[in-house]
Amino acid sequence: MTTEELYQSRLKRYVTAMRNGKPDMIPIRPFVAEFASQYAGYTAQQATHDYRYAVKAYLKCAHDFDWDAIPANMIYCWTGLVQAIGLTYYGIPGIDLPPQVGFQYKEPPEEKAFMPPEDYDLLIADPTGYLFNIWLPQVSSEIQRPGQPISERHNLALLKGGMAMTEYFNVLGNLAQSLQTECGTVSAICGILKAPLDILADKLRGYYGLANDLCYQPKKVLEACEAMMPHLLQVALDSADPKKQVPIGFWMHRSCVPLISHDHFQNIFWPTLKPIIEEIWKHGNQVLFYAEGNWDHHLETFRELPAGSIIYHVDRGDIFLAHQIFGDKFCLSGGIPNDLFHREPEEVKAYCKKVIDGVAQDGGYIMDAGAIIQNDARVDCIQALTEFTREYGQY
Amino acid sequence: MENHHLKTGRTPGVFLPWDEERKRIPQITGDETIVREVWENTDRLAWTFVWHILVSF
Repeated sequence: MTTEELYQSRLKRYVTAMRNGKPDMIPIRPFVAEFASQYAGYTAQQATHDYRYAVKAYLKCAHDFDWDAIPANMIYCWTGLVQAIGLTYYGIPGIDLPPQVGFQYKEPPEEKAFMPPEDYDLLIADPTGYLFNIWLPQVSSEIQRPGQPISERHNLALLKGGMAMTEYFNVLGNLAQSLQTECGTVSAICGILKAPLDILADKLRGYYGLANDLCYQPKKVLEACEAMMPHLLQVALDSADPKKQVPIGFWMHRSCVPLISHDHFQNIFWPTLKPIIEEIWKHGNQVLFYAEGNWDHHLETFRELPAGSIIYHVDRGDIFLAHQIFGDKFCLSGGIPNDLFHREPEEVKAYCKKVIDGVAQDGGYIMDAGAIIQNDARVDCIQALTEFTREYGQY
Repeated sequence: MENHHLKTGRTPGVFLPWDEERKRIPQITGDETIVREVWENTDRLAWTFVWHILVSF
């Protein structure tokens, strides 16, 4: 089989499963992150701060493991770009963190939130202007607000940041191409989406700030989410797979019960997310709901979406419950607890069997860990997941 | 705080709208469509930059 034939067979397998169909065998699509760099012999610092190591690591993994698809790249934050812009919310391996530790987000204390609570009206009036003129100077150590003295470092941060982003997106596109032509491996996702309420917590108000706002000014929170909706939709559509084969990655963070209330989910999170998903589906693109943590409380709500419009990824939720609720509508992925990768390969195999037996009998399942696989995972455990699924996951 | 740079009604993909930029150009001697299209394409890069900083980085 040529590399191109291998690619086409893997693509068909992956796409068939994502459409909730039954392929020839269960596709394997592990979201490997710092596992890839560790496996290839590089530190987290090397792969995160110098993307050339990440590229080498992903190609080596794709070459060595029989995986149908992997993300390109899941050590997604190039901290060289972060440093160029002076973004203060990252812990960078090799600078802020030991070189073997993956990059981290730093959330400021509530009183130092990147967006103060009184700024809602400004964000609502002009989200793009607010982000550029007020938020970016707030989160950057280099960039100044309009009206403040302009320095050489300010000019350089914007210049280097813009050039670096273009360079990095080109690198990601080239990596996806190399995965196909050199390894016959599919680039698992294309494009990005985050929910308005999650973005508000992650990058603007912080979780504690948002929790307060949901109690004391919920109408402003809703209006801010509504104002960001069309922009987040556009980001997703602009970055989506033009061939409409692989899904947009939707990273689900802290907008589920019990981190927010059921009412806030139903009245703010969902009404400002559902129309985005429906619009993306009208364009013919699927969305991968990467449900970090446990979103079981909301499965019935997600079921409102059109059949086939999403792939639902299970992290710490109950994959058997998800299958019961979604089985006739959506493909599932994941559900293998990451802590198994610290144990013995036989335990990994046993859990994979349990999941395959429970949810994959009629197709519509993609093998993956619950969360992204970092550099604490044992190689023999990942090999066990791969080899067992290949052997036992034949239809 | 300087807020006069904020504008209502800025649509997705647009930072500085062509209609505003057009007023700054006294005369276009050639094909205005080309000028407009290229302006909008490069303007979109700036919009993409700031939104990707928020969403992706």
